[in-house]
Amino acid sequence: MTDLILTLAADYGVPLLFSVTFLSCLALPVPSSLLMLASGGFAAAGDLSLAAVAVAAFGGAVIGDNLGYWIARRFGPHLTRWLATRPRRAAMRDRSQAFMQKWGGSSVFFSCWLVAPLGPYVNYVSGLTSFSWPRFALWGMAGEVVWVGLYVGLGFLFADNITAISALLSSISGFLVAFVVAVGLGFWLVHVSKARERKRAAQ
Amino acid sequence: MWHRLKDLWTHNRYLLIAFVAAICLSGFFSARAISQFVYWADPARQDQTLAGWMTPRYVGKSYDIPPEIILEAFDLQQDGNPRRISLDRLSEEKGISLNDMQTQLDVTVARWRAEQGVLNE
Repeated sequence: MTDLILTLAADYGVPLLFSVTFLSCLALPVPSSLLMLASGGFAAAGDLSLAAVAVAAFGGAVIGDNLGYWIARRFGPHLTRWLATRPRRAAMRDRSQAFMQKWGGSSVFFSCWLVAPLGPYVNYVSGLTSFSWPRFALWGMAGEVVWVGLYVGLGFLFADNITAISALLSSISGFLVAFVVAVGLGFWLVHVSKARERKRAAQ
Repeated sequence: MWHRLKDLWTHNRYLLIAFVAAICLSGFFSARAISQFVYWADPARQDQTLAGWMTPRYVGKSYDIPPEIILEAFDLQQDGNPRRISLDRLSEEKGISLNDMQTQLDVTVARWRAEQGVLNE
């Protein structure tokens, strides 16, 4: 699979990179990190232009993010009505709305690069909860600058061994995602357990 | 602590299982990252084995050799603008297998490095 993607990168270069970062920001399972690393590596070798690589990756990512946001915002109300039909779902919606009000900017920023696999879902939640679009767009662009800069930059710097750096980065990224999910679930568990204890004490 | 776990197991079983799974996954990925780092840090693994996705110039970058040595190793002519071509395509066009290309490359690179060694002494 990796080899196939890399062969496509050598054959189709910049347009492929643009399409893949675009699709990955809509939660489609395409190997955007690997492709950014490889394109950075090809740029270092002189086979692609570094500026074109950076612009294409950034453009694809930003357009994908915003499209995801607007899809969710446009079609969200139908889902919101469905969510409101059950008290538990409604409570969940209110909680995520409150969360986005408080942490929206930084969630969007960090989900673009530090925990990139979660990024598309944060885009959809932002649109669903009608999070302010200018804030979403600005934090998103800032995050994509870091994401593209990091992966294309590392590909460029470690061009002599793309295979090694991509394997290592995918492990690090997997660790970060699992760790963030674990911390989030941990907080949630403590919260529900304490709430139940208070309820019991009150009775 | 214990009674809390028991309480969660009774009331929020799936959440608890997901939490433990996320912890295990973090452990797995960090162990994998460390082992990959150790594996690739070994200088013996610096020259990447040829793969179909590489381009001639990428190979030059990976082996840290100048372009003319790459042209020689892959028997390429420098006519006009250099092309971006994958080794897969190149091996099809030239009818040489990737293995034979590797052998040719190893010979050329070894000779070039020996010459460089002589020059540096």
